[in-house]
Order: sequence, then C-alpha cells, then structure tokens
Amino acid sequence: MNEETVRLLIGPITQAFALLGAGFCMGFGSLGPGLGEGYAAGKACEAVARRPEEYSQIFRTMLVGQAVTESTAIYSLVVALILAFH
Amino acid sequence: MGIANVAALIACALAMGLGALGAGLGLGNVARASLRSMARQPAKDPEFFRYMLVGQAITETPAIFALVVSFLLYFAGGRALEAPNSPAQSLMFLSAGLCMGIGALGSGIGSGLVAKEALEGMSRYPSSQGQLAILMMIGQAWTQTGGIFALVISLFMLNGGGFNQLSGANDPLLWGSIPISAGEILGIARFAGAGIAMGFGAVGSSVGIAYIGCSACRSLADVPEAGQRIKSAYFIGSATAQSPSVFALIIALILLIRG
Repeated sequence: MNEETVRLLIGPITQAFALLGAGFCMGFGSLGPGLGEGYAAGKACEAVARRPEEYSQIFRTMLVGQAVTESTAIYSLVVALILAFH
Repeated sequence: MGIANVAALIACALAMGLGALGAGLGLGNVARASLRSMARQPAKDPEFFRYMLVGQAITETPAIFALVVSFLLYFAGGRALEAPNSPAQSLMFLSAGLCMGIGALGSGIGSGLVAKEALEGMSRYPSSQGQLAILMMIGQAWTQTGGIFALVISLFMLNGGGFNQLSGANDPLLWGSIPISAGEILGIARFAGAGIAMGFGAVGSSVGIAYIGCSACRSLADVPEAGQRIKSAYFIGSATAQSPSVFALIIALILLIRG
C-alpha cells in the first residue's frame, strides 16, 4: 500500500470506526438502563400492592430512581451523538 | 451471484433462528402456566385454554416479524443484485437480519413471561380474571415495542437505508489487495453500527418492561382493590423504561440516514 492510498483511506477509516463505535455505545449502553428501570418499576408495583396508602411516596421514589438510572442511557446517547457527528 | 447473496442467506437464517428462540421460550412459558392453572382449577379449564391461546398469539408476533424479514432476505439472496460483491451491501443484509433476530429475542421472552404471570394470577384469584386478562394484553403489547423498533430499522436497511448515495461515490482504492472505496468503508460501519445499536437496545427495554408487567399482574391478582394505583405505576414506569430503546432507535436512524 503506497503513501497516497494511506492518506486517502485514513479519513474514511477513522469516520467508519466512529460510526461503528456510536452503534456499540448506544446498543450496549441502553441494555443496562432498560433492564434496571424495569426492575425499579416492577418493585414499585409490588410495593404499591403491599401498601396502597403509601402510593404517592412510592411513585415519587420510583420516578427519581428511574431518572437516575436513565442518566447512564443519556451519557451513552450523548457519546453516541458525538461519535456519529464526528 | 456474489458475497452479498451469501450474506443475505446467512442473515435469513440468523433472523429466523434468533427470532424463533425468544418466541419459543415465551410460548413454552405460557403453556406451562396454563397447564398449572388448569391443574389448580380444573373447572375453569376452557377459560384457561382460551387465555393461553390469546397469550400465545401475542407472544408469537416477534417470531412473525422475524419470519417476514427472513423471507425478504431469502428473496434478496436469490436475486441478481446491483453490486453483488459489495462489502457494504453484504453488511446491510447481515445487520438487518441480526437486528431483527436480536430485537425479537427480548420481546418473545418478555411477552411470554407477562402472560405466564397473568395466567397464574387468574388461577389463584379467579375473581380478578377479567382485569388480569386486560392487563396481560396491555403488558404484552408494551413488550412488543422493542421488536417493532427492530422491524422498522431492519426494513429500512433492506430498502437501501442510504446505500445508493454511498456506492460509487468514490473510485475504488486498494487496501492490501482488496479494492474498496471510501463510501464502502463508511457503509460497512453505518450498517453494522445501526444494527448493533437497535438490536441490543431493543432487548434491554423489552425485558425490563416485561419484568414490570410480571410484577403488575402478580400484584393486581394479589391485591385487586389497589388496581388503579398499580396500573398507573405500571404505565408510567413502562413509559420511562421504554426511553433507552427510543434513544437506540434515534441513533440507528441517524447512522443510517446521515449519508
């Protein structure tokens, strides 16, 4: 491979790896939060069944917990967007 | 005939194989729960049979999506393609198949689990049967969204997904001894990235939402008087748990469209 080819290919290859990285980042980055938020909300349903009168407090805790869990998905989204528009 | 045709046939097998894996596990779970319920309450036998069929029909949908994509890939594999030796087109077929297969995995297992919990709840508390049947169908519909997102991305890829603007954009360069253009390199990354993002992104949310559905069905069966509150926690919780797969859909679309 001569130097001219390397020079022409290096840009597209860098961009290609950035795009591939964006895909990996978002794919695996949304796997965990999806499972985690589901687990939180599932436990919230069980808690409401056990103590229906504490509904508002359980609901608030569930939403805050899910929002915190969501943050990891948002980190992945931000990094994936940065990579996709690299 | 070229490597793209071979890739389409491999992708056809992968899509259907993985899609059938998830739905098969789910369907088995529904049948098992229905048999246990029948053993517990033999008098209600026809009702459990009916709910088993409804639950299984909804659990079947991801497998049907995978079958559709698999057929499309099979016909693409037998067709004379425009660029039969293009690596980007090969990756397009492979990741369309993988995206649908992996996406169907979570939905199939998840909706089977929801129907299982609902059927077992019906046998424990026959009085809340009607409410549980509705919650079962809503819960199963929620778990399907991941599979539907994967289907959308997969069909979009099969219809080109921006490939036509990419091919022939640059003259072929030599990489070692393989002729490959810059457009092809970008095409490979684009399709592989979109497939991985949507495929795995769909699994997490589907399984998570299925877990909420299971808990909601179990809780509703145990404490029917708190039904309204359980349902509202369930719907809001599911909507939030859905967002990671929506992010994955957005990234997959950006990767495909941005040419």
